[in-house]
Amino acid sequence: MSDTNALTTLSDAQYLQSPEYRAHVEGMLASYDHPTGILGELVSQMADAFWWVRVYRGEKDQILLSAMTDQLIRKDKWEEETLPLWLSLYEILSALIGGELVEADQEELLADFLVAKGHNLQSLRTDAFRAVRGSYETLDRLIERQLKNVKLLMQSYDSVRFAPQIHKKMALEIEQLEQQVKQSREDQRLEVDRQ
Amino acid sequence: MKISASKLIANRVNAQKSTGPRSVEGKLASSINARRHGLAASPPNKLATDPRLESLAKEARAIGFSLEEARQLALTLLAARSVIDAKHAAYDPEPESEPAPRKDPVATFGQEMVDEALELGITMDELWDYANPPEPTLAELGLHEPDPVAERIDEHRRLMRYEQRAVNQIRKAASIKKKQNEPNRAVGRHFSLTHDKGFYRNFECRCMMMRSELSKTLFVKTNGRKY
Repeated sequence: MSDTNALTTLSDAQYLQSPEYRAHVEGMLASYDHPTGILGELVSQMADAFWWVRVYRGEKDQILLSAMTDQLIRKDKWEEETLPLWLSLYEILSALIGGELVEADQEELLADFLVAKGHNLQSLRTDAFRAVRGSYETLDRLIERQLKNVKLLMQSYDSVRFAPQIHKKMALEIEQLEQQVKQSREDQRLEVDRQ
Repeated sequence: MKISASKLIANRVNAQKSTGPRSVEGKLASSINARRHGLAASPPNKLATDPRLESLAKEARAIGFSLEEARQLALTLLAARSVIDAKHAAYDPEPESEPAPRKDPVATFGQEMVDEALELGITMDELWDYANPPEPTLAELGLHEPDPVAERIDEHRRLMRYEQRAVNQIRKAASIKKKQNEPNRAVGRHFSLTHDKGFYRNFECRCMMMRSELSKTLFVKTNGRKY
């Protein structure tokens, strides 16, 4: 069974058709040597947990940047002037925090807003973080949950993966014990005969 | 599906006038209004009738799980997958609602009033504008703009306990269980590796027999001396 089939084993939901999600899950399945059936599903669920860790980390960055921009300018969806400005500031802050270079006029625009609000980049970040602390904590809990899920799913994977070997080992041990008993009976008989 | 702010307010005002469902059918229908994803439903009836359950259980049976355990493992995998589906659904962009068709001035104000307005020099375009005033913004109505990020985070927070339960159940179903009331620690170690109760009992009997046989042999070999 190919990875594509393994992916659609337990769900026909829309998200499985997303190319980015598919590539992520297929990559994980490939790293586990393309398991199928129960093992494939367990690996897919592990991949899903990692996927959400990535999404939640992205959300954390996004809400912090959004709150930083909100500190500088009030966003009004219906106002034609403020929305483009809000978006520009968001882009500039995103670039600066991401370590990218920004153009001189963009830097100047940001500096004007920072001065007007009596902030520097660090204080702006601190204020914004205070505003979104609740969401941050929720996202941290969600990330922690995903990591616990991965741990439990890995343990389940190992249990299912090695179950046949354990049963085989058990059968061999029983056979060995039976041989031992048979041998001891034979020894006993010989001993009695000798005496 | 998104609705406009004015419609939301109108719905809430109208709801105040409602006395609730009266018929049995209505009461039954409203009793499941709060259902969001069905993950809290106690018996997983939907999963039990899922056609995929059989193939998964069969595979689990083939690798040594007992019938009951194989079915349990398959059920928990399906339950976890339904939680994953619900999590992704919370992040799916909602489809934009169709814009409402524009109201006809004649239907809104009546033919007589329209004729009168036209006589007074009001154009038909202006009448159309009067009949379809612009929607007030949420800010104008004193309402907060909905935050989609906060909404989906909150939805995931609500789903967290279901995913915790689902994954814990998978772990429990996939684990190789340790049997209780073990007669002997060493024997119990072997039993813990098995899944089948029948096999366990059989194995226990055989081990006891073997131990008995070995002790008899030892007794004979050592002429009754104990070591």
